[in-house]
Amino acid sequence: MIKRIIGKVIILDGLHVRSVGFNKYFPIGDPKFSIKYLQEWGADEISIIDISYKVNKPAISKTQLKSITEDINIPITIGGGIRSADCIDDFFKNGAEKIALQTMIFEYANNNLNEVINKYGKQSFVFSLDLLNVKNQLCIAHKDELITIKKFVMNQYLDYFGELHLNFINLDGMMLDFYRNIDNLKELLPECPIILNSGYKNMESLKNALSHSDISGVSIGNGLFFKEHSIELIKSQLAKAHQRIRPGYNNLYELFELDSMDRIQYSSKLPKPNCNYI
Amino acid sequence: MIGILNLNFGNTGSIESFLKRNGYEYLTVNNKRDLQKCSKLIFPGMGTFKGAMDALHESGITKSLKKRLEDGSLKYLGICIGMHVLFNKSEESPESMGLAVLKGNIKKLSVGDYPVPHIGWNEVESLSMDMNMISDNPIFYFAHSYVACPTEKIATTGCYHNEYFISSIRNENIFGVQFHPEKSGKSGENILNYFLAK
Repeated sequence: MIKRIIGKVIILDGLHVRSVGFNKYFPIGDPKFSIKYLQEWGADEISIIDISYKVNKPAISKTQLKSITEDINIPITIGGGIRSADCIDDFFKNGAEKIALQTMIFEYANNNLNEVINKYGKQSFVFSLDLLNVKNQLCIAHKDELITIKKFVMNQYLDYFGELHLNFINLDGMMLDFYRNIDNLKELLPECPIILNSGYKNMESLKNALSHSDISGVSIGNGLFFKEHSIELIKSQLAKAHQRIRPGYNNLYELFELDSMDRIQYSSKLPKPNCNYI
Repeated sequence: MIGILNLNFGNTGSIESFLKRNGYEYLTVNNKRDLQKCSKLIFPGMGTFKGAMDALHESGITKSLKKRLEDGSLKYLGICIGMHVLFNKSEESPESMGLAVLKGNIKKLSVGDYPVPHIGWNEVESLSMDMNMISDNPIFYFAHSYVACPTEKIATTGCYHNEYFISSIRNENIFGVQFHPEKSGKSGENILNYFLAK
């Protein structure tokens, strides 16, 4: 199976932001342009997370979503504050391929999620699960409650999603590495595609994360916006490491990264100018 | 005229955006009268078999759609569930009957211990379609738990954890794809342009 590199776009008050630990934010710009760039750079999918939602209502409107997605021809997942069937209908009609839910899945007994799943099929829904490391114990955060992963019963939610996104909140924006102890989560992980969210540090961390057979892809936010063509660079490295990936749009030429030593080496090979600079 | 079947169901937005970007004129279809104005129809994918068939019945176009598909007067592109409804029955909703325009049924994708639904990018292999004509890079986006099992007219296959499945069918005026061309980058746009240009 081809592993996916998903571009994560966090939206705060209509603006694409860099997030650090979901408590510090730095503006990047209009999400419409960020998403277009991610697509052009070879992202396999876009995950939009709107963190500015009000109680029981997403901040992003269907019109805004349509405007963001009208130039996009790769799958888009949207999440954040989605609590009603009407909102899900609106987002699907306006360009979303998948809807990421957390609260609505936790509270499936008190809402009409069953009807929605019967209409769209569970492959259209992502369980976006927030995980927090508290005193060296991995916990699932829901509202004000923390449930240790050992006490969490995943089986009751299996009918309500087709893909699981594991959001490691402590790793967000920290460049510390993806969560490595996937085998410790075995009892938590259902038989569905699983995406690791947050923790991109470098190519080694990415190769390690994708090498795990249970992991279908990774979702990367900040790390993709430090340089242009970031995903093409990542994919060219993964291809060299024999990882199955989807080639990007512009893979007509080989991209390579230069570190500072490379720059000195390459510049020394450049022809010397034929005049002296003062 | 190109029609997009809009039954308050499924992702019509992505197909509409594609048609707008590429300068095609189109009509959204949700009744018999609009269907008569169309020479080509796209049924965008997303949803369950029962949901799709119920929506078709509610719109009142089931009979006229079936008739036009069978007499060849309508060129049809069915995406994912839009392809599934062409068959007799589906294991997804055994109580619902499909359009039965093609022979065969829809079965659950079964790949041992591997994850289902099959979500993500995957290659397709041509059996009867000249894929080189329509895509240099035949990798497409899939999101499904069920697969069509036709007895004929197979155009391409896909493979998920060593389990082969039908990824597209082609029968005269009918073209059905299991993947989502509207979400498959340039490869998908080539498929859509190929269908619309024919």
